[in-house]
Amino acid sequence: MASGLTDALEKLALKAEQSENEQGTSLSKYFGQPGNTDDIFDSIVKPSRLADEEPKINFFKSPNSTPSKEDVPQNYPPTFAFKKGEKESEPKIFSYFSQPTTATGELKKNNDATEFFDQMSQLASKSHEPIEITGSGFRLSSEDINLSKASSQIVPVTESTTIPSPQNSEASVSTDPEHSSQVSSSSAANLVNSGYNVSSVGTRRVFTPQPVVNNLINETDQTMKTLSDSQERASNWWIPKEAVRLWLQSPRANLSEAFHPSYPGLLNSIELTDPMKDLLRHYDGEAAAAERQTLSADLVTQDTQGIRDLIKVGCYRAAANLCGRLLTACGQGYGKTGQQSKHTPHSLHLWMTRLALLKKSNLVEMAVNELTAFGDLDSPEFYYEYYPELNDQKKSGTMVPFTFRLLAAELPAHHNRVNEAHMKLCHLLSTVRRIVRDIDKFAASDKMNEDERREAANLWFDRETAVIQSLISCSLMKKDFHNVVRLFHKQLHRPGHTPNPALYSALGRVYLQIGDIPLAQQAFNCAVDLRDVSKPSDAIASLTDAGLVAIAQNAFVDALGYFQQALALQPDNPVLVNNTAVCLLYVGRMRDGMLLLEENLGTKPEMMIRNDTVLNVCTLYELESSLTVQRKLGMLRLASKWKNDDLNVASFKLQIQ
Amino acid sequence: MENKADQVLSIKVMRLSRPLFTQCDPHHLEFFYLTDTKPSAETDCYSLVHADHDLDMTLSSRHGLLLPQSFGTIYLGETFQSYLRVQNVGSFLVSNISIKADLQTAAQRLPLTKKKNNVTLDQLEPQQSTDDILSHEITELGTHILVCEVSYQVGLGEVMTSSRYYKFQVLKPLDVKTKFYNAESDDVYLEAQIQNTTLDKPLCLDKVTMEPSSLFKVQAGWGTSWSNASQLFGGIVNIVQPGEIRQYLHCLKPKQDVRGNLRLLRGESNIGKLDLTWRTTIGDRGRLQTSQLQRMVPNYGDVRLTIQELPNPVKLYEAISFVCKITNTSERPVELSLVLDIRSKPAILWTGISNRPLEKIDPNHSVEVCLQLVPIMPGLQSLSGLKLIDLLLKRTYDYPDIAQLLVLP
Repeated sequence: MASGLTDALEKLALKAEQSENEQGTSLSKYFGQPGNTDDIFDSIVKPSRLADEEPKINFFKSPNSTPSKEDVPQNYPPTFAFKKGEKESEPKIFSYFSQPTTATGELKKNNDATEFFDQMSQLASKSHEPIEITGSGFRLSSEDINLSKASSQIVPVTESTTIPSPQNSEASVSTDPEHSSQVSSSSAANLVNSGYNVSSVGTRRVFTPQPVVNNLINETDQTMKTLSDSQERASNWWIPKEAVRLWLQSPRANLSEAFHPSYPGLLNSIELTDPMKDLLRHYDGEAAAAERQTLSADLVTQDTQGIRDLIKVGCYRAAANLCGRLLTACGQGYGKTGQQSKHTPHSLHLWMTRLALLKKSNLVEMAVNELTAFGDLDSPEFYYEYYPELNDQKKSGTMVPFTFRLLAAELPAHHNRVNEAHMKLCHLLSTVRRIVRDIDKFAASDKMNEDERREAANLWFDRETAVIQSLISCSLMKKDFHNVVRLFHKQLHRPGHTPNPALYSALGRVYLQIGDIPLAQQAFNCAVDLRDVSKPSDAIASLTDAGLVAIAQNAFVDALGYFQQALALQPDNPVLVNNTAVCLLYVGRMRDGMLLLEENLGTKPEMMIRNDTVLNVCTLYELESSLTVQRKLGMLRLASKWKNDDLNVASFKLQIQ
Repeated sequence: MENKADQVLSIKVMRLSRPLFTQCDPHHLEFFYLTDTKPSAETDCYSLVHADHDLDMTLSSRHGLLLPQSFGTIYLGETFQSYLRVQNVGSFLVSNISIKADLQTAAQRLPLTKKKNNVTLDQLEPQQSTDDILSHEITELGTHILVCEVSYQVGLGEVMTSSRYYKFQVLKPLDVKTKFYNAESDDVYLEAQIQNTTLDKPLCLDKVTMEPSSLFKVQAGWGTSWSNASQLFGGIVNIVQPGEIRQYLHCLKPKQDVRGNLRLLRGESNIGKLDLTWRTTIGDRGRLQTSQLQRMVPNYGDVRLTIQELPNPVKLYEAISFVCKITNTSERPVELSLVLDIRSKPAILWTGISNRPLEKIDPNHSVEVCLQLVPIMPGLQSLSGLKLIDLLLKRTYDYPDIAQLLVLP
């Protein structure tokens, strides 16, 4: 009978309580009661449970179910209460498996793997993400397009045709055919590395556009509208702060110490290099690196079209370089910080492009530093009124693109200053809301008619949504889940909002992140109700949701089943391939998972090579065998053939010594 | 993760904490803006058309799950899961393989390989491997060492062994403080303060239930189910952030059959146990149970006086009557005299005979006495001045503040 020991332990615990009682607690004082506050922390013991109890789904189905009846006291094994003094040895929190001691005393580390792994874990422990993998928007979207027309990812596009929006009512605004083709290329065609415009440059990156892409371009062409004239006017509205407003009203009246204009400049004269090439050079030598030919800033026209071309093929760093060159032409190049220069809409767009590209390339530090010169983007030189001599069109309002403001507000969050970003976003939101509130006043001052006013209102309404989205993402970083869920609900119950299954799905994933499975299930159910089961894309979305819930319940066998079902519907979907592989590991079939990923990466590289798949397959390599580095290098060589620098090289988990 | 070059069998382990969602950059769609640097920016329109879709990008399903990239932290009550892979990395057939994985803690050594004894295999071809998932619910704090031992034979050579040690620390997730209130009605109120003591893990406290000891039952509706916890805690999210404290109140009532048996009830200091279940990121589950919670047993003395019926509130200057129950909780019969004492500044006046002898009460029996009083001061008044004198032992039992009375003018 184990109870003898348990009793003894409980007596021990009781002793501890008594000594605790003598000290009393602040709470007992508060209640004016004799302190009966027991610090039972040292007597926490664990119930014994059958090992296989946890993964049961029925817990989830009936959240009220009480713990199994085996938990009667007699069944407890003699568990050990820990003693008070033990706390003294400060536990190492992130001690990882890579620092084991071997019995034989012969410790030979596979440095390649372990040290880098350590670095990665340190990296991961800093942020709440394991590794910051910036999603590659273009690539992803292109995959979406390649998948099939019915894929879930295209939902928003098709949806936008069904939701009456001002953009739709404006039938075909773009009259210039060349211009409209540009629109479509910048919106959809460039998602695919389709050789569109690129073949002329002569890189090896020439992918044949798939027929479905053309359909999509046509389709998006109808939905992608330029801003209407009124919206374009409305997009420049802004509320300057009081001092700036006064100054703008009486130009040049007392321009002196009132403000200091901002003169931004590049902080580095050295152009960014291709990190994948550096990695190749390190491992395979100069020749192999030279073989990798990506589009660089030198190979395109030195204008905005060149930037477009570079972005199109995913050469983000090269595009950032070109932005830098064009900014140098604007007098805001390297070393020009603090030197007088003039802001134009063109220069501000170049800056925004460059900063966004830097952020995308994980060069947040550089982006933040270059952004510093801009201050709060709210001084007179950012308004058209500041340049009466240049402004023949009598434009008024701000020259700063709204997206620039949003980018500037959220950038600190990626630089470990989440609170600062949160504050800036709140400030931005309040200004946007003031404009939405006073939309009539703005419209009147711009002499807009009723239709134009409505369009302007829609524009600003949508901008509000964009800021809210950014706030959600910022709150997620802070793990401020209260705020996240509150913002989501607000968005879901927005007047005039069409219920969107994807939004409910996203809310469900937030709940899973929190660990609240019943509420997650509720949200997923809402999404299911809005979906059409007969549509494969909807079926896949629902299966994915079900798979995630199963993972949360530790029911990986079930999760694997869901993902395999989904994969059968859409064998080319990289997310499904990836998730199936992950589940295979968790059910003990690591090799199957690795082979599934490898096979897909090998046969459909242009679609499958993504940060998540590469990171996962390289993680599996580390578990697999002694040939880890060689296998990773194989993956690097494969990716180098297919990818420009829109892939995070950290995903390879290789390091340069 | 490591590998020794001279070993024929490589041992690799990887903690299987939950895979992670990718939180992607919400603004990548705005990138389209950049593709056209003309200030008019029809692309702005693009991003706006998708504003709603942008929201969907939060933890988007467009991004795959990521395998955990670090060991992370592990807390008491959580389940440690690990992948164990033993692979023949040599070029010879290996036979008579036995694999053993134990978890060594300060106090004990727990076998983790599924069969109580070792996993044994006849042979592994070159490049062949054996995979297993170890799972263990952590019940101890402090240093844990995962010990993996493999013994094998290459050809007909001697038996070789190799072992790996992986160390990790188990931390305390919660701090539980409790407080008891013994009510006159023999109910026990348990106040539990639960604090999240983790460094970085917001806890979704699924369940905080009381598992009462044999004499008590938890009053229905109190702490039995927290399915609507989110409403309970004001917010829309049931979550306890690191450092935050949450208070729970449980009401325990004596079971009907022991309600009369005061001696049994009085002797019981064990109240029950608190059962805590929580989940963290992606449903990672943890569970703890406290040891038996001990209350201070209320000391009623030999004679216990309780109020049975008391009208409340009452009117000023209007006489009220109420019933007192006097119980003999001692081992012998007692003879008592009831004293109605009036203080110097009385708030109530007793009406009736003071120093009135009561009938003899046998052990574990009780009598009921009807008393009258007149409140003469408005407000919340304390009922005091009742005394019982044991005529045999000449002992006085005083009952100050036995009940409270709201007197309305």
